[in-house]
Amino acid sequence: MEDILSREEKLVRAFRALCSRYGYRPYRMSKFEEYDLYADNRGLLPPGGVITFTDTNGRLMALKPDVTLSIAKNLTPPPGGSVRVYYDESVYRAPDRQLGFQEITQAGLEYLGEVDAYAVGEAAAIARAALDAIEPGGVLDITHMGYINGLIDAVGAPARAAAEIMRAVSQRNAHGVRAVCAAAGISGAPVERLCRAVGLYGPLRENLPALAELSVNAATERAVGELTELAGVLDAFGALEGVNLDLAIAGDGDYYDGVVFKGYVPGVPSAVLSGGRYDKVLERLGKSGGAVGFALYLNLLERLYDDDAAGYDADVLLITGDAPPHIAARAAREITAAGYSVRAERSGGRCRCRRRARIDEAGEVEYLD
Amino acid sequence: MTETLDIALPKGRLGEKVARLLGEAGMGAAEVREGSRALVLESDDGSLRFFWVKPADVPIYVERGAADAGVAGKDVLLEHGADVYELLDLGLGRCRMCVAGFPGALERPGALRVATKYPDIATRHFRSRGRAIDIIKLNGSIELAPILGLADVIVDIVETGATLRENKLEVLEEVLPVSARLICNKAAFRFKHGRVEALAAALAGITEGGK
Repeated sequence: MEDILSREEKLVRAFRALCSRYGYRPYRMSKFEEYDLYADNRGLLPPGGVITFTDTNGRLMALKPDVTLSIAKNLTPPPGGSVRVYYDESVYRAPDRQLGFQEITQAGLEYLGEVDAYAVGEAAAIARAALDAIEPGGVLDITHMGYINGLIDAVGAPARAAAEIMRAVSQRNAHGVRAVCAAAGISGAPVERLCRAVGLYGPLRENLPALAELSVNAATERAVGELTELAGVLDAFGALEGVNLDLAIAGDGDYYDGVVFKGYVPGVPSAVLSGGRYDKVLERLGKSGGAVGFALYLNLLERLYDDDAAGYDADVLLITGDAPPHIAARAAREITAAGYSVRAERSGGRCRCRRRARIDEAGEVEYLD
Repeated sequence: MTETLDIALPKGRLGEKVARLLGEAGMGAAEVREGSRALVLESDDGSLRFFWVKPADVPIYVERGAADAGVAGKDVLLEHGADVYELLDLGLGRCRMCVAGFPGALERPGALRVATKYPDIATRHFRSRGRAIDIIKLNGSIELAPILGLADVIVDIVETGATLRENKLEVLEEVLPVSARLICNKAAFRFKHGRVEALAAALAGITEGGK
């Protein structure tokens, strides 16, 4: 069974098992949704447009550009409880204008309900384990939107400059932060503090004292507290290894608040996992409570899994030659009964197999190598 | 064994200057010093590998992970919108991206015809001013456009302004200052963090942008 699964299928299976271990349930959804959901919440969608079509009843529908919004809209946790689901689905959007719309396959999990340090830590620990399932040696980078927003607030820049500062932060561009601040007539300790914070990168726990030292207000204090608690929970899950602090991943302010994380694996040039706390999304949908989740971008792993293409078509290539069909069928049955996969061809052809066999004059299977 | 750090350098004067700086920082390649025309060069200690690529392609090499780091002008970075880290302003190749044209060209009523190699930057600039424009994408000799009546203004790089003056054109607005930046692939920053930081620190120590 394992042999016939592609690496992506094995990964999805491992991910399902991982989520199930913590009480998450599978969630299936339709490929499309009423367009109004996306029209009303454009600011919450990742960039890339929406494919729309008119349904038979005249309603304007959309192929899902995003999974989280649908789950947040359609599921409501019971009072005092939580909803924990995982999924593997395709979404459709055009992240690169020049390439047009693409089918993006992703797997992920969502937790809706009262979010505490355990819930965030559990989601981050599953994310950490999911990265290991993709490829050993990955890293999960963590930040806190409250912390970076608190530092930017302390700079005192007007709203437009603050947005530019956030952009520079997400590019790890300290000279850009200084340039935007200088253009807004701002300099001094708050700017340099922000630039120092942008430069922080390394193991989460080791960097917490630096974060505490650079903290400037109640928002940053609260964020340091939450990150400290998160480090404790991850440690208890045995998932703190390979978890780094990285304030430069704080880019999607309209979507995430609180803890945000991104995952990278060796061999893939961009983040393969993205997630965090998104209470703001629920608020926009008129729902109470909190939410945390993440998505794994399976389509980005294709290059990593290129070696699948070099695999075998079958264990045994059975060259049937002029043997009658029922003799060929009996030989094929014999091979599969022995636990091997078989591909029957009249001649060798272009088949990638571990061994070759033919049917001899007596109708028996004869292995050639 | 230490993994090689792959660096995309822009072909031309800027790239050669950066290669010389790397040499000063003890990260140079003998082939650079010897003026080799090879497209791929290795540093003397084998820890760095340099690729010479077209300047506009540097962000693509870095974003897609074919190179771990690279040097690109701010103009190229903004126009391409590359999803990379911008670690250092090297302070090299300083110039300005400007709106230029005949005096008073901006006062023209209605949509402004803008000739440029940088349609995204030009669009963002005029949109931020609420000005309707008609972009004319050109690939060279931009200054000709207003002279021949193809466009009202141009958006282009201005170094000394001599070409503009000779053609009786002038700078009407400055869009942004431009200089070379050290950029880095987001995954490489994580998996080759120490090497990337060392490269940035070495370059910061010898360029004005790092001061």
